[in-house]
Amino acid sequence: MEKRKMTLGIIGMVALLATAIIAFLPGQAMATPKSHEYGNVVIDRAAKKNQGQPVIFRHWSHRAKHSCRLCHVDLEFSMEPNATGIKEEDNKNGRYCGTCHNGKDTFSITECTKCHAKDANDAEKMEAEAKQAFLTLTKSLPRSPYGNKIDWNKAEEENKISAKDFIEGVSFPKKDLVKNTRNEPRNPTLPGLPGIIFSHNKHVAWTGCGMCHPEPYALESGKTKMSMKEITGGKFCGVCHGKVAFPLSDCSNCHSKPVAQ
Amino acid sequence: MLVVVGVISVGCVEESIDRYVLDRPPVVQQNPIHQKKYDNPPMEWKKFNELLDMAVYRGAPGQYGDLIMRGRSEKKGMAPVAFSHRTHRVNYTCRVCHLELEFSMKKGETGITREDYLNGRFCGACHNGRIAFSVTQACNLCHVNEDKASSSSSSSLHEMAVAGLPKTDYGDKVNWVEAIATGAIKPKNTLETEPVKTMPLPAHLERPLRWSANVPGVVVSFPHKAHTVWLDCANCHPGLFEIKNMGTVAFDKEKNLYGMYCGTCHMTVAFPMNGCSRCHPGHKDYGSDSGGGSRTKGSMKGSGNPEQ
Repeated sequence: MEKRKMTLGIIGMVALLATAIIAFLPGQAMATPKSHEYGNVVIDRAAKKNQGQPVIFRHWSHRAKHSCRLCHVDLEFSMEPNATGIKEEDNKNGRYCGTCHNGKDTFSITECTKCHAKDANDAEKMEAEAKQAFLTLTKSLPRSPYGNKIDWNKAEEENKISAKDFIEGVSFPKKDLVKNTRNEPRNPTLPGLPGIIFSHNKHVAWTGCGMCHPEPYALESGKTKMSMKEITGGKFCGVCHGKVAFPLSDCSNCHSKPVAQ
Repeated sequence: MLVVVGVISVGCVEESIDRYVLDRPPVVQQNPIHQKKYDNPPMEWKKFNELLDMAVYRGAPGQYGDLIMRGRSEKKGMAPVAFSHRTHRVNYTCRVCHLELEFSMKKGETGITREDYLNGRFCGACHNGRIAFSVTQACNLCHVNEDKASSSSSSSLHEMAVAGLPKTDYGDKVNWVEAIATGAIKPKNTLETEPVKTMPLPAHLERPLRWSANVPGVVVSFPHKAHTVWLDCANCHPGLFEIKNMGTVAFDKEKNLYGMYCGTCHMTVAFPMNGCSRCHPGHKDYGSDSGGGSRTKGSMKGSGNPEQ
């Protein structure tokens, strides 16, 4: 009985964590996820059906080794949680997670319990282990006050991490000629607000071209009109920033140009 | 509806009270955020009065902002931790702990463990024997019994600690906004070696925002600047208040009094709800006509500042 209560409690906690990540209660403190939980995705499509434990996917552990593009373009992972529809059969056939988790590049999908917790206690243990691994990783990387508390861009620029961007037999070779590394200045509509410098260079290393163009951004420079209202609502920059990439509360990371007089 | 006005004001309208709010020229109404209207129906007078009466601070000034953290420590057989916000905010802004060091604004949410602070997280970031006393050497400075905690913040000790700081009549009796503005205290804003990169406020946020409330005659004045010297944008946005233009319209005094929105800080650490006039210009402070001493402009200006 006691154990069952505890299990229920922990399931509740995990559910709470999941909701805290996906949607937060306005007006309440504690809205910001902790640094080791920022960018975590709860994949519970199958778990809901089979009453099992959800898979907690941690972006930080993957982006320290791979570009965003690799999974979200080449491996066809959706940007929405649970929208990819990963099946065991897919993984076994070397799609999705199974592409790398094959026992050669990294642990195999046959080690089920590495991602699928056995029970709620096991889930808590995995969470504690992940936190430790996260704290070890942060020690070697440049810091930021926001999000994961890791300055991922700086880490990439200083070669503290090297994001893998090509998988033999899956990815298509890219022509370097196509790469756009321009800085695009953008003027905010509000007076007195510092200007924005959009760096193609910083994005291209992670996202390539296809993750932003032609949707949601038109190829023509400055054609796409957007507002902070839409961005905080998860559109445009908000597709990544605020979920995985540095959060929208890191204002000066984009609004970095001196105020136009 | 009219009665509510009476309760909030607790007396008649007084001239110019907070120089951070009232001495500024009236706001030019350009941006729609200045005309924001809260359309929640006003609360019943009786309920509001009860709520406000519960929310104002009547405790000892030396204990305002003190936290007793017992959840985790008592489980491990340790005495509860007594934390004083006042002793910390003299030297560090809110931002340092609540953003850089990941302390939650909600009690019990941070999940501090011994392992954490021994590895230099949370308290261990400063309490390492170099910046402040070490967590490994002086356990009993933080893990104290409750009665000891209250004696350490006794009124005479508190008076000594806040001597020379600008005064108010409520909370811990210190006007922290004025203290930082006049240079009486110079709290650090970061633990990093590089200075903080903060986005300057857009023009329409330079001056205090003035909003109408759901009660006629009640104005809310919100100065961003008094907040940004202590806090990072991320402390309030988008968690407590949405950044979306005029997005946060669902908050009212009741929610504040329940510890949401402004009540997150302004009931526990920042000046308590007793200081009505600080946000509602023109109103007297709570209880100011019943022995608490009316907070007039004269007494504000006369408050001690060693550097003037």
